[in-house]
Amino acid sequence: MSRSSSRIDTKKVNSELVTLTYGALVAQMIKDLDNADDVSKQLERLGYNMGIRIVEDFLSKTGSGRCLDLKDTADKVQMAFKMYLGVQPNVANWSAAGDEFSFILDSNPLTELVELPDDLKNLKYCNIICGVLRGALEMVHLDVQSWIVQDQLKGDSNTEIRLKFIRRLEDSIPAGED
Amino acid sequence: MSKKGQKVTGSYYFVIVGHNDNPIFELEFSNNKDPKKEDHRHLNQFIAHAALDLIDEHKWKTHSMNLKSVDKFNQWFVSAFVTASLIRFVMVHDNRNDDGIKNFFNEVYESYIKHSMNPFYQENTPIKSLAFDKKAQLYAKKYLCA
Amino acid sequence: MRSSVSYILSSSTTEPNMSHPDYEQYSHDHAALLILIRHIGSQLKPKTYNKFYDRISKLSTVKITDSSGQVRNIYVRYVKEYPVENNDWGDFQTHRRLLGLISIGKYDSQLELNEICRVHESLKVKYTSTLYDSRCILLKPNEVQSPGETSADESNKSSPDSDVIKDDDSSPYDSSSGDNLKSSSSTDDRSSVEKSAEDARKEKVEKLLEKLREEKTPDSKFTTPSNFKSRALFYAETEACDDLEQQLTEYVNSLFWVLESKRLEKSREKLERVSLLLAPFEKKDFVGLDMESRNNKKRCTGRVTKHLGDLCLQAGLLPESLTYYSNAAEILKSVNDWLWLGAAYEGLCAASALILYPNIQRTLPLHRNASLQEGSPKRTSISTTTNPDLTNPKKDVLNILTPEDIPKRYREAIIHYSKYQNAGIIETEASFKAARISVDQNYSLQAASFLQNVVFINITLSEQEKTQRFEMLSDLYTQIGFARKAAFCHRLAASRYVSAQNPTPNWSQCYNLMLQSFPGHKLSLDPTEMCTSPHQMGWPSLQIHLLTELVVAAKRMGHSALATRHQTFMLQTMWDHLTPTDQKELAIQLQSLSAQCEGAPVPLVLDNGVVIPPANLSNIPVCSGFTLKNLQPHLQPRKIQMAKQDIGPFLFTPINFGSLERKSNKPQSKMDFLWVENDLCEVTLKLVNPLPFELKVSNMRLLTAGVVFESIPETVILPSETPTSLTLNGTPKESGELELLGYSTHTLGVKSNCRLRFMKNFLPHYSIEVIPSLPVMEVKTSLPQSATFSTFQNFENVVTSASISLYNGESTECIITLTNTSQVAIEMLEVSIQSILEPNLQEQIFSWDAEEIQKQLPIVPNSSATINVRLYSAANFLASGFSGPELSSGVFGSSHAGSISLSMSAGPSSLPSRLNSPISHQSTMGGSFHSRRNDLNSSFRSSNSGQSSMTTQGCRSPGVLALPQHAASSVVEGQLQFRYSGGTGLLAGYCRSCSVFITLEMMPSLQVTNWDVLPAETSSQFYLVLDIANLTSQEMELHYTSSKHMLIEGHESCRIPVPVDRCPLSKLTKLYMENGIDERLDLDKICSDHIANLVDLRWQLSAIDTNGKATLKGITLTPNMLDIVRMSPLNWDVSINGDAVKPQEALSCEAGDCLEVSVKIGNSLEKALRHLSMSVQFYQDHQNGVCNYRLENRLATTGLSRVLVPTLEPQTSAEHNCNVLFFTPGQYKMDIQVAAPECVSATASISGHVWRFIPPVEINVSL
Repeated sequence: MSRSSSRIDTKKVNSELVTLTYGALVAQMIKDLDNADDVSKQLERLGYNMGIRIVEDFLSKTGSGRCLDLKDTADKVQMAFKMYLGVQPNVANWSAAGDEFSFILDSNPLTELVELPDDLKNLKYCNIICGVLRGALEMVHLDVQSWIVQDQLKGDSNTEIRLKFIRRLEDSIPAGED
Repeated sequence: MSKKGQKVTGSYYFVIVGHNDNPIFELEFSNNKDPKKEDHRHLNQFIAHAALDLIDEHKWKTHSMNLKSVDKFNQWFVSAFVTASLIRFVMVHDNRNDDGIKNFFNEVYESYIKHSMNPFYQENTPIKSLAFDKKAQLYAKKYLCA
Repeated sequence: MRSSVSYILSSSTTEPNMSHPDYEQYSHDHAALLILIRHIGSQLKPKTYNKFYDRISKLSTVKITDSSGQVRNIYVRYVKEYPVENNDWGDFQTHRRLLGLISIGKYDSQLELNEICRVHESLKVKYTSTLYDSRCILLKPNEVQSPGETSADESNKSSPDSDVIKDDDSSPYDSSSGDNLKSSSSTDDRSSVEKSAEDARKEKVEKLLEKLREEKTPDSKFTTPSNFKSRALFYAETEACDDLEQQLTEYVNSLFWVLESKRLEKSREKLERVSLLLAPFEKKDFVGLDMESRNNKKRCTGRVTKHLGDLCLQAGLLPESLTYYSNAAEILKSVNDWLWLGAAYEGLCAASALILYPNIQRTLPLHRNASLQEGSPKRTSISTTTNPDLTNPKKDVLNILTPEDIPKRYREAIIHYSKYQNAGIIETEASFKAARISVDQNYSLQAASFLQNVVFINITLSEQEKTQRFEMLSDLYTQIGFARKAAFCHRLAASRYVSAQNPTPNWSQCYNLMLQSFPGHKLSLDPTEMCTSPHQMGWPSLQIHLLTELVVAAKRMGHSALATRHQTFMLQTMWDHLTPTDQKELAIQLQSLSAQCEGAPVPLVLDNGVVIPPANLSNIPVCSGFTLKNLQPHLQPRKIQMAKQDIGPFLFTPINFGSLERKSNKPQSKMDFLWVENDLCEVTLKLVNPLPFELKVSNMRLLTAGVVFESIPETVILPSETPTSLTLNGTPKESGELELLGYSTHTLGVKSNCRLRFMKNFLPHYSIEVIPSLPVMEVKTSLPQSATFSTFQNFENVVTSASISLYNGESTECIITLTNTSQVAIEMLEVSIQSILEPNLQEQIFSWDAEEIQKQLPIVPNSSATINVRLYSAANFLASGFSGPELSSGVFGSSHAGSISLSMSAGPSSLPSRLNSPISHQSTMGGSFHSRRNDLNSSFRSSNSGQSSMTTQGCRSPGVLALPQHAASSVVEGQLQFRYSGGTGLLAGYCRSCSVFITLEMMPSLQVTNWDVLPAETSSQFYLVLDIANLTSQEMELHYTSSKHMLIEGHESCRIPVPVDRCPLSKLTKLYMENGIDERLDLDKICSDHIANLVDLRWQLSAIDTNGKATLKGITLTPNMLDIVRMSPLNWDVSINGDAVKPQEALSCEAGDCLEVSVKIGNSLEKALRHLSMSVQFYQDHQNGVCNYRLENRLATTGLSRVLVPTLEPQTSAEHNCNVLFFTPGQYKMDIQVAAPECVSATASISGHVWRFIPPVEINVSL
């Protein structure tokens, strides 16, 4: 644990760099497919592909065991947020059924410095996070749905990412890219 | 300390000028509302534009980005600030307020940097961001009037 | 820069302070002798005057060797105007004194001459206080020669004196005359100044007299009036006046010497006793002051020292002047005499500058470029012929200022000046001088700061002077490359010209200055430059402001064309930066402007030579699409060589070659189709009117280059903001490459040429090949147009269509009229048919006479040709799916052919009804027929042929003769293609292709549902029995032989026997000769053709009188049929008891009779038949299908019943005889047959074949 934690600390990268890189990526995508919705979709895919890879790394570093219930998972993901994005989202808005909840980020490194121009108001800028969640959880046999409820870029006070549990995946073979 | 009593009055015209002498952000700020606004603005713009020559000369002479007051026409002073990417901040003002303007420039520079890191903003084009405008207004209030 | 303590030292003045600023001044002018060159008299043309002025002013320095042998470099400055008030500052700065006067006048008459002289004199009086000497250049009438120069030359030395004397009387320096004389006299002989005054005076007087004498003896008929006391230089206007320079040098000399003398005089004065020198405004400051005070004494000496500095400077003694100045500075500083201290500093600077940068000249516009280092003086080493100590200045001169110090000192001087309100002008001028030095030293900022200062000097100036000040500022700013500042000043100057205070507003000046302020604002007058720049250049709101002002100026100037032009320009280039309301207003303004003067796309040239390039409104309306249209398919030219026209032949334009993939992504400027000379060609534009009101765009044409193109003007009214597409038409007038560059518009009163080159997202131009003119043909047909035509390969170039319906076998003519509607004769015309039918059928259906067509060529313009196309409804009249063999065999046929045929021939007309409706009519005859049919069959059965039952079924069932199912009509479609060309187009190898679409509905007429062959009475013929069905609804009259015909009700059928000659062996021999491979089929074919040719069935529908003919083409025959159809290779000759047996004839005898049967067979082939076995056999036919061949106990035969014929040579015959004797009566039959054995047959064609003698011989035996 200590080993891993130390490794995490050494693995620091300038957040501006990340922000700029991601921003440049999105901007370029906008240029290329000049349609906000397509870009949002693409971002989600990107995220998915990151997710299915990152989860292994996460588990190995944190050495955390299997989750017992969704709440457990939520905490783990929360930890992952801290680890990879350096922000600690709040887990909130559990649904009555307990199969649906939100991560609420009051600050989002990805959207630092970003301002959406009027013609891109429907762009889901940080849709990549949703993708990551879906991808990562799929690797641990959780079929989930994830979408952005609130977005600071849209003038909301904070960013809320909703996560809904669909079903447990029995076969361990991941679907891979869609 | 920069905001002393006598600095309350006075009108300011702030403009960010791009590489081709094209204004990319303008802000007028005045403590006393004068009626003949429109014409006045043009005069300010002309003065600011004329001052660019001096700014371009001065910017090579000093290491600091803030060039202080570089030009003067009738009762108007022109102070300037040149960013690393040679974007020029020009302030046309009718009363001395070096510190205030210096601070204003620095603050605006900060937000300008931030704004230019916005992946959707293309360098050297007009700044449409409301947030930026708000900030500028804010700093103006803060530093250019008591 | 300005002193904080402003004006403290000078009372705000009511007296006229120093008058007129001289912005032109250079620091070097401190050293110059000031000479006024005046134009006097009405005769002299300004041009000539200017010529002289320029020539004179070339002489800016003169070298004079002084008494001590030292060479002095004397600078001269010429002015055209000099306000006399400025003279008053002569004490303050001596270079402000006007020392010389050169007036230039022209005269034709004595009167004028006198007048000129008078003016000259009066000028002298005007400047008398400072004037040393004057010259008057007199241009005499041309014809007059002037040897006057000589006298002038040699009187040269004495010349100054005359004036000097004049001067002496009036000059303030009375006492100075003595030295004056000395100095002047010292000129002639380079003797020392020590020459005694007396001698000098004597000389002087002589000289004077002498000179007067000369002048009194005038060469020309005109003489200067007596009161004219000046040196006159006579020239003819036209002559070169070569000695002018010489004269001038001499003149300058004279001035110098006077100056020098004054200098010497001053220098000798006792510094203690000098009077206080004053600047004009100082006068009253010092009244009543104690001049004796130590302070003032110092002041006096200081000022005089400074004054001496000035004189030395002018007299070309730089080092001395420096010393004086610095001393003066010392003294003056000590007594706080700021004004003069400033002057001293200025002098210091001037002198130093003169040493450091001797070559600064007027009006050298300087543009800073990067290579030029800040502060690196520019004109240091311009090699000049001036003597070395000036070109490479001695830096070690005492008190000289370093380059860096010069501006510093100037600054100080200016600051000191700034303390005196009345020294405003001095300060201004100083600033300019300082600026110029800095410019020259290339200290831009330095210069800028000096110029900056000028603006803040508060002096009461005339509007004009203010304006000039700004112009001068902008000029200098331009010199240091401060374009934007310069622009700013230009604009201020411009606004001054028309400011409210200005009594005489000058709009054209304003306009010009406005224009000059454009470059600084990154405004170019050429819209294309503005638009083509990738990103925003300059400051839009300012540019708009300027343009608006410019338009106003132009309007007030009364140059409405310009106003329109600039307004257009603004709309065009500033569109994106205008608010919608502005856009609207500007557009409306433009309309009103252009109402006065319409805008046209031509450059405007101003009086000052400035060219205003055209401005085109290419964004009103906005053009979003520009597409060239191909010609109508039927008009498109095609390469004649091209095999398949349907694929356009133009895949092979050079551009597409090799660059196909590139073609895919980026548009090609070269069109891949052709236009045709003299054809109307189209280009479609997509236009959007961006204005909020309806826009009328008139006179829209295409702009082209290359071949001559006649464009047809269009006018369109565009609603606001709604895309409209417009088609522009035009006709290329010659062949070759045509380039489309854009289009022209006329809207808002402005004519514009909108060139794609300058418009966004368009190719610079589109080019298209125009081929020589081709004829155009109009096609009409005699048949009605078909309602629709199916999708039949490409019928794009179909021009018309024709449709008709025919009964099978019917044929008709379609007359096609071709009219040449063009001016080109049609010389080539090809007609072809395209259809999906297989060729030979196609030929049957569509046919025409090619020669006939060619005969009609050429078709001259407006005439027409006709083509008759024959349409034949060809069809297969034989019921398909019916295969011949089933009906009958030879045996059956032979057995009762007779009776049948008879019965048929008996009542052919009645037969069909019974046949085709057996159920309905159960008439006895029908019955009998059937019974007969039955026994037919029975007999048939007797000949054990397996198919009997089937056959009977076939025959019985009414279906067989009922109408065939597939009676529906079919439709055939064909395209009649015309490829035609003519004229030059033909030579170029192009043609046009159009086509007529023909729809032919084929309706069933009659059909042969069944057929069979029966032997005829004669062996040379046989009967073809046909079941004919009338598929029409009309009654059909059918002619089946020349003589025989019958009527068939609609939708009924009947059976007809057609006698046909048997297929002669001649047609077949070939078969027997070589053993053809599928001889069976050949045989079929030959025979069926044989039949098809012989039988022609003509039908006629009298009701709708149409007629046609049916063919039996492709009729199929069974082997047995074939035997009947074709002649047998054997000819039979059978005789009983010696008399030949006739067919169908029964013979009778009594039991016990012995009959002798003799059979002779002849071979009618051209080759031998081998191993034939002939047999004779008797049998009894029980008429119930049973035949009894066991007749041993009923008859006896003698002789062989079977013989073998080894070979039967052609044309030979073999005979066999035998006898028969019947024991019991009864009916017997004799069957004779010849068989060729399978194996050993010569030819396959007849191997294993059996020929019978048909019909079998019938013998009735009675008791």
